[in-house]
Amino acid sequence: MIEVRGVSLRIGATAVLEDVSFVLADGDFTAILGPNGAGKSTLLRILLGQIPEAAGHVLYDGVPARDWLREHHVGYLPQREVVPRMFPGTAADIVRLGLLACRGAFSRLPADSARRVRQALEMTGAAHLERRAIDALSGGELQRVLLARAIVGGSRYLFLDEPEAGVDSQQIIEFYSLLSRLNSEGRTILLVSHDINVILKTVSSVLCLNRTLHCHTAAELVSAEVVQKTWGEVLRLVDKHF
Amino acid sequence: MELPSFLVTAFVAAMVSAFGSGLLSTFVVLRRASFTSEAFAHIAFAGMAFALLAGLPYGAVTFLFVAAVAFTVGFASSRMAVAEVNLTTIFLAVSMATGVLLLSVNDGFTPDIADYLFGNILLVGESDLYVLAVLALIDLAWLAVFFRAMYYTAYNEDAAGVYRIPTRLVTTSFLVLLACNVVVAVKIAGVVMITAGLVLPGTIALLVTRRILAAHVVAVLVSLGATMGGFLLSYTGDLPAGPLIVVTQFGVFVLVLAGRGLLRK
Repeated sequence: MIEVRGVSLRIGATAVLEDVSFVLADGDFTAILGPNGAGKSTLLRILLGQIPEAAGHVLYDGVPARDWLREHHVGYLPQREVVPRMFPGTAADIVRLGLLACRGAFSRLPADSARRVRQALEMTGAAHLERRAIDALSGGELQRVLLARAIVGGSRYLFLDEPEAGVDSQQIIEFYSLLSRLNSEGRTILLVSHDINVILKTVSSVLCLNRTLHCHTAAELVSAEVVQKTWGEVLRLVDKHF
Repeated sequence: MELPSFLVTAFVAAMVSAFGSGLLSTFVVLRRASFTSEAFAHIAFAGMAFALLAGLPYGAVTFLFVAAVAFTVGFASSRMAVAEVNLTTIFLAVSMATGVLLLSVNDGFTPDIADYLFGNILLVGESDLYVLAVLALIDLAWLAVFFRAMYYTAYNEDAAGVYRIPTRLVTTSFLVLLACNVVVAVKIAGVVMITAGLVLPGTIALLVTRRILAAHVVAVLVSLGATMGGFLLSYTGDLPAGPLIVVTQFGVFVLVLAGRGLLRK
C-alpha cells in the first residue's frame, strides 16, 4: 500500500503541487489524469524519491519512501528516456538494469538473469529485440523494452509516465491489455496519461490532478463536472463509454 | 644495444600511464567527460602555483587540490542546481586566474612549472613510477567494483537513480579518480596532451565495437599500442615522445574512421 499525505512542491514562487493526499491499495490500477503542467510526472518522481525537497509524506507499506526505496525498487517507465547516440549495448543490457535494482548496484546478477531478461522481453512482445542495439530501437520498441526493464525485477509496484508516447494506436491497445494482465497478476499500477478514452476503459480508479487533487474515484464515476474542473473549459467528457 | 636507464624508466612510466588512461577512456567518452579531464589538467595550475609559492611539494598539493575540486563538482553540482559542466568551467577559470596571480607574486617564470604544463617524460623518476603503478591498480579496482553502476549512470543518470544505482557516489568517485589520473599523467604528457590520452582510445574503441567490455579492452590496447609506437618513432626520429604518442593515436583514429567508411560501402 502507498500512502501519500499532504505532498506539496514549490519551485520558486510557483506551486507545482499543493497538499496532495491519496492512498493506493495493493492491486490498484490507477491513472493520474490532468492537463499539461498539472504536476503528474512530478508527483510520480516524488513517489520515486527523486525530488527529496518535496514537502509531505510518502509511505510504502507504512515505511517512509526514503527508507523503503533503499531496500526495494519500483518498476518505472519514464515519459521519455533519452538513449545516447552510439551508446554500446543491447535491449537486454537495458532490461538487466531492472534486475540489478532488486539486488543492489554492486551485487552479482542472479545466475538465471539471461532467462529472466528474455522472459520479461517476451511478456512485453519484445523478445525479437533482445540483441538489438539500443540506439536502433524505434519509439514503440523502446517503450516495450523499458516496460520489460520495469517488470523484470518483480517489483510489486509499477509506475508508468505516458507509456503510450511514441506508440501507434494498435500497439497502445496491446500495451494496455498487457498492463491489465500484469495488474491481474497482483502488481499495483500507477500511470500518467493524457489518453482518457483508453484510460477509462482500462483502469480501476482515477486521480484527477491539476496541481491539487480534484478527485480520486473509481474510473466509472469520473464525471463531466470533474473533468471540467481538472482541465478547465478546454476539455469536455463527451461519452466515456464509447 | 643497451638503453639508458632513464629511457627505460620513461618508457615503463608511459606504458603504465597509458594503461590507466586507457582503462578510464571508454567511460570518459560515454559520460562525455572529455572537457572535464581537460579542465582538471588546467585546474591543476592553481595547485602548482600555490605549492611553488608556499614552498610545498607541488605533486602532492596539486593532487589534493584537483581531487578536492573533483569531489566538489561531483557531489555538489546536483545539490547546488548548477550543471556539472558549468561548475567545472567556473573552477577552471578561477584556478587559471588564481594560478596567474600567484605566479605574478613570485619573481619570474619557473622552468619547473613549464615542465609540468607541457610535460616531459624524461623527467620521470622511480618514485613517479610507483605512484603510476598504484594508481593503475586503483583504476582497475574501481572498475571491478563500479563497472555496471558506471555503465548505467553513463547511459542515463535519472533511470539509473530510480533503479537504485547510487549515481552521486558513482559520479563523484569517477571524477576524483579521473582527477588523480590527470594530475599524475600531467607530468608525462602535460596539460596540453593529457586529454588526447583520455579521449582518443575510448573513441576509437567505441568505433570498433558496440560491446562495453570489449570497448574497454580495445581502448587499453590502443592506448598501449600508440604509446609503444610513439616511443619507437621518438627513439628512431629523435623527436619528443609525448606529441608522437598523440599523433599515433590520432593516426589510428583516422584509420579506423576510414575503415568504417570503406566497410559501409
